[in-house]
Amino acid sequence: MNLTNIKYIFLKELRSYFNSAIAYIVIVGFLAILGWFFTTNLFLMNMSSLRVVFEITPFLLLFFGPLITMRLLSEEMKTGTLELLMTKPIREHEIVIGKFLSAWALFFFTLLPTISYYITVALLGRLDLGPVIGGYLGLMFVGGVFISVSMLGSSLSENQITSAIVSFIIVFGLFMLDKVLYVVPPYLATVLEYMSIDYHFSNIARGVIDTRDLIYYLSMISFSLMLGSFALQRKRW
Amino acid sequence: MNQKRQTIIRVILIIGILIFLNIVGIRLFTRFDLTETQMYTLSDASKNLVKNLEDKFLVKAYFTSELPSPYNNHKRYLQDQLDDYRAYGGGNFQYEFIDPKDKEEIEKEAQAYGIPPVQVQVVKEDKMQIEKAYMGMVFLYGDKKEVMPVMQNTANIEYEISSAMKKMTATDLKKVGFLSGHDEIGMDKIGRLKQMLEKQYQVLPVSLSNGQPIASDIAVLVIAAPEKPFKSWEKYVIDQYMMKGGKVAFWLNKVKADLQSQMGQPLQLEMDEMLESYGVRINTDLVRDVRCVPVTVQQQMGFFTMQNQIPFPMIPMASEFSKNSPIVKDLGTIIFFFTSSIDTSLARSKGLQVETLVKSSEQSGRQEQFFMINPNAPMTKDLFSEKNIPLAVTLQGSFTSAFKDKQVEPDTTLIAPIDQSNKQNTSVDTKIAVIGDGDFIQDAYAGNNKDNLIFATNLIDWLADDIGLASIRSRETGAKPLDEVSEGTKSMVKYGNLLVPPILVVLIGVVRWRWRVSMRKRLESREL
Repeated sequence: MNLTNIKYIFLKELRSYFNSAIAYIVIVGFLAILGWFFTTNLFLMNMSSLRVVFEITPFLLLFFGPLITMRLLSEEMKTGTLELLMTKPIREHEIVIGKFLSAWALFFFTLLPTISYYITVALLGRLDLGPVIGGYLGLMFVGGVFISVSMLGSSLSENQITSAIVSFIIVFGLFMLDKVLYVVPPYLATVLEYMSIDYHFSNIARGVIDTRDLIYYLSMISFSLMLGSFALQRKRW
Repeated sequence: MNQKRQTIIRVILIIGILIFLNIVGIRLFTRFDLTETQMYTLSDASKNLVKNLEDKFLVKAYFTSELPSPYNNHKRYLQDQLDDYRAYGGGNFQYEFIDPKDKEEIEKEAQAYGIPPVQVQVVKEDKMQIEKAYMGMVFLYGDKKEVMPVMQNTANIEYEISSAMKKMTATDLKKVGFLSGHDEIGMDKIGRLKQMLEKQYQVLPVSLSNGQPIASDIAVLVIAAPEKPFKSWEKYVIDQYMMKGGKVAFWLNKVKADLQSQMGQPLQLEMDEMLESYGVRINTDLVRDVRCVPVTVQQQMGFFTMQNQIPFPMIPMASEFSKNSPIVKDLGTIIFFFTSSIDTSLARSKGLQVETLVKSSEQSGRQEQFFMINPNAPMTKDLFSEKNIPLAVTLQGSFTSAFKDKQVEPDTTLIAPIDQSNKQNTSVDTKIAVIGDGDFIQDAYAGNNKDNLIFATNLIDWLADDIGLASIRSRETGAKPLDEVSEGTKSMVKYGNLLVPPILVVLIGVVRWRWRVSMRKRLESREL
């Protein structure tokens, strides 16, 4: 693994996000929806917590993930720039990791302005910082899983729209896993529950960092990225 | 072909490694609690309890396996908590999970301990079914047992375990007496508080009817909302109980509110002089506060009768607490029902330690002399010109007897006159808690606000020199309410948060775009 190559891909992709209108449209849309939920509930619930942010964001991520990653690998395959990349001494997994990091960074920049929600609530009441840190960390991990899984979807098709739809179906399935637990046979339930995103997120959003949850998130991310790079490799032959 | 096979082998290998890592991770893990109050970490009080166990403490958790969400999460949480206890227990703390599913004998065993089956919805063979499930625990220590029949939520689980442990390991339970005989709140009306107190104390009614001194083994005497005046000798009995080190909670209504006539009536309890000698006064007034509970009133609108929710400042929602006191620092809000203000200016000169636990908000006031309590009455700003009126205080130190220079008035209804030969004029170091409202502990009023009961229990813990569990009891209260702000600020905050972040992002985009255009132009001109 060559870090310089990863860094090069990362910066190139991040720049292309912010040089086109995509990044701005996605971020503004995200903030408008989240802001609407946050502001309408703030004085209604009258509680000094950011629970609304942590409940709504995973939902938004269902769309956010596929939207920002659909282009990443599909377009490369379609326009042939991928071949150009491939001729350079860059390995597939470096491309995948670099692109993943850029999409993840975009998500970070999307969440960044929501600091204003934190400042608001902290000024208006007594806010426990622990669950806030845990919640944001959890969101970054959930975002990481959704983005990496969506990238896997993106590697499956040359068509961006097909990629987005495939990715959406996969992340939606992951998201729903623990909500359909009671319809599956019991011996599967424990495994499915462990696989589901929400099960781990609810724990971290309470303000408890548990190594079990971290291992889960990191496993999911690295597994999707590896499969993604294998899918790219196939294109090469 | 060869490549393909290699890839498949690699994928399988990686899946294997990841599954292995996760399985190992489930067994070897650590947790970091980021919450301010260390909410999910075993408290020092619990650690001490479990460290000082002298015998085997066994927890048998009857949990049906494969429960649907959210109950499965409860099990994980409970197990983590029990692991924590075991780590500090030095071998004396043990637990086991028992699955009663399809095992009639174990079901019978659970039910014999008092753990009932609860109904849970599951889907089986494409049908919604109601199934029996067990989610209870029994604690065994020596020949004692305590049962927690159903685990409702995870928030108070440490408190449940620790209070059971405390109760079972204590050689004898401290006694909390509720005074009767002056139309105080009956034990039947404070069932929920009693239930909470009985986790640690023996709760019993105390009557003064025979003129005998109050038993010295009563650790705390609670006087909650009496309505009839106290006789001279009754005050003497209470006074001498205190002088000998008894702790007393004076939770007295000074003004009786009658919602039917919408008037308040001052109560003559004849307690003022006694309290003043202890350095504290409950004023004959009613505190009103902008932070208050809404009430439903009927309003006539033409032909229609409308049900309207309006704020009622006479039922304040207090959330201004002493930041350092373990009694209140973790609480959210306490709701008082027509409360009077408290004056402790006399205590300083007496060398007593005073702490104001609860105050009214920044916008509050007092109603004096005439007690109109009509919720529809118009409210003006000048009615709320005072701030932080004391609502609940504690005093500690050596108190002067109310009967130092006074004799008990004779009472012919007594069989024998009160024995005053051993009169004590100053107390040993003791404590009292004074609140201008006695109704806040009633089931009917405290109903939805558990903080009221936690506050009362914490206060009794403090009086009984047993504050340890107070820190974990209030954990379940969760997030605190926001401060009261004007409507103008509210809309500013709303629109600010809705509009500013997106606009900021758009601005950054525009600036970046302009910058790129100018860069390109400069590059182009240089090429030319």
